Amino acid sequence: MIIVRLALQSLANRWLTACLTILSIALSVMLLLGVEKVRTGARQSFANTISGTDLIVGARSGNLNLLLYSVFRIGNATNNITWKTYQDIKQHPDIAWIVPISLGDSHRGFRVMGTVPEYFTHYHYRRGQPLAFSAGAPFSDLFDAVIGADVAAQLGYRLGDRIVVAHGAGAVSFLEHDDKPFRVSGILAKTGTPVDRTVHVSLEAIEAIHVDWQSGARDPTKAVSADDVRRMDLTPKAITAAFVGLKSRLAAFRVQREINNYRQEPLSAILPGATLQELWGLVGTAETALSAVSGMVVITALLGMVTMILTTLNERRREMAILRSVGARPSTILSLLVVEAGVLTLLGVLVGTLLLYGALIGLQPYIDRTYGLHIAVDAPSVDQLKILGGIVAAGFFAGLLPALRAYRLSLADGMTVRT
Amino acid sequence: MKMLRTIPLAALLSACAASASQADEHRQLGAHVHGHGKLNIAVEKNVLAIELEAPGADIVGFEHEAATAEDKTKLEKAKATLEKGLELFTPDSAAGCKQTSVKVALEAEHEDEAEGKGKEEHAAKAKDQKDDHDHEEGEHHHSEFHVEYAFECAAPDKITNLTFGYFKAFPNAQELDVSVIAPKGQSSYEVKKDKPKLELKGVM
Repeated sequence: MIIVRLALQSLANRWLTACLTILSIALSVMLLLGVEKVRTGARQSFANTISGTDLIVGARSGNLNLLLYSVFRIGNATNNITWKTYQDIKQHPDIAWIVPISLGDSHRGFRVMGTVPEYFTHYHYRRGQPLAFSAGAPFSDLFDAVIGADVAAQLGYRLGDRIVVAHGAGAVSFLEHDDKPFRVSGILAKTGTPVDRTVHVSLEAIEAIHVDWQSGARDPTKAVSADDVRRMDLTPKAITAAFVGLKSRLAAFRVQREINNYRQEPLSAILPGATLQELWGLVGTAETALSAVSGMVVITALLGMVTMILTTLNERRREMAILRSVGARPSTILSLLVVEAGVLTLLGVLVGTLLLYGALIGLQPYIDRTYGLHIAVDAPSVDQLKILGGIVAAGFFAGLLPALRAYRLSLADGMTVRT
Repeated sequence: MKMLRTIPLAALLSACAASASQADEHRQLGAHVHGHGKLNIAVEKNVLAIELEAPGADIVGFEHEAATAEDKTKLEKAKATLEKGLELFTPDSAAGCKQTSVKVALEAEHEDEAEGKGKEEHAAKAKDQKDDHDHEEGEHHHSEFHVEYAFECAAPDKITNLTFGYFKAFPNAQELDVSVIAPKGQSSYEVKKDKPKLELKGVM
């Protein structure tokens, strides 16, 4: 115990360097734990992009492709589904609800998605949280649009604003549906999912803006005005994909198989949650790299501490000599320095953990709001505690290097100080 | 002379029409990888449903029609093993699961005529021509086991892992792609022969 007191007092004597060492260890520990927190948070947010949907149905393609275009609006559909097939699937006795979506147009870089009003009640994210409107309501008129939070924030739109949808999914388009502008009828609250970056319109509206188009361009001879189009039959001919909710989870695999074997049209049905995990498996390599980097930072901080103790050894020859003169054995000198390193690391780990939790509690609402990344503030997991314990042990161990040197010196130098 | 030329043309045209009508028929075939099976797990209330799809090569070591007596006993033995669901896929005993039903089916598929009129018919056809199922004939037989289990569990939320006796019972099987649909969401895993255990902590 006397050794710990001696070590502490010796450190107090060099408080500035000691504090800086503790701080560097603390920051490295904070980084290590922080990366882990952000990693699990990102993973959760990612897995929570869609929930409550049992199956996603699209044209026959790979699982990931279907998930990417239907949920993340990345890439394009391989094919469309005919309206007749959609009606067929809708009749399936195991299906509780089905929400069709139609993609392909854009508005200033944001994807436009045609859907039905039920989308806003059935699309859930983050463990069953439904979509909420920060202003307005779902579309009631043919040319109503509901925009995501990012669309509203980045383009500065408010309720009642007029927007023009562009043909095709590019960021810049020269073909615009400017004869049939939309009115912003609702703005969704931030979700942290691709919904934030989507302009939602009704399926009929998608049909309506393409009524007088032929082979990718507007045909001026067949122009139909926005008023005339309302009197036309706007039943869609095709949809891009559909979200499906089932009456019982037990039926999911059976319905999936039936859809995959649907004879009239090649279709794919995927389990969105399971496919999300597959996708994360691909992205997941990056998280290993992040962990590796933060591990390196901890090692660097420990090396810095060893350097600090080593460089001060020379100045402390006198301190050691006095200790020896009052009866300290060389082994006492050894343990003194090991304890010093251990105490520095322990304090560093404690301060780092406290700093991280302070930062988390302070920043969490902000991060959630701006990035849609929900980082849970919970006690460190067993694995993390093990890592922290490992760091403290490594600190003690690293202390052995200067300690052994001091041990040798204290034997060789005896009591004389050569200057 | 002219007459002679027209006849072959007409014949050609009708041949075209015939092949066009053949193109209407539906052809599709699922993927089939030896050593690689699929396991679907769904939980709702107290019911745990497990579905296994495994290539015949994994289960009995062959995929042709069981012709010899040896093949037939192998098949019977495999079916008996497959029926003991709780030995192949064992949940924690704390969950208190009991098998309530099992259905073992062997489905055969032919690459050369996957018309898909019904699997039974295929099996029957395969029986008729059981002598010429050599691969040199240009015909590949694939057979797949399809097993459906239903379990009744007292506390399905206590399932924290699943032990796979499956790989011990069927040494040819290398890997299972597992999809899980549980109250807390969907997830997918890969379970391999060298680590025949699936962690399901926090999933149920």
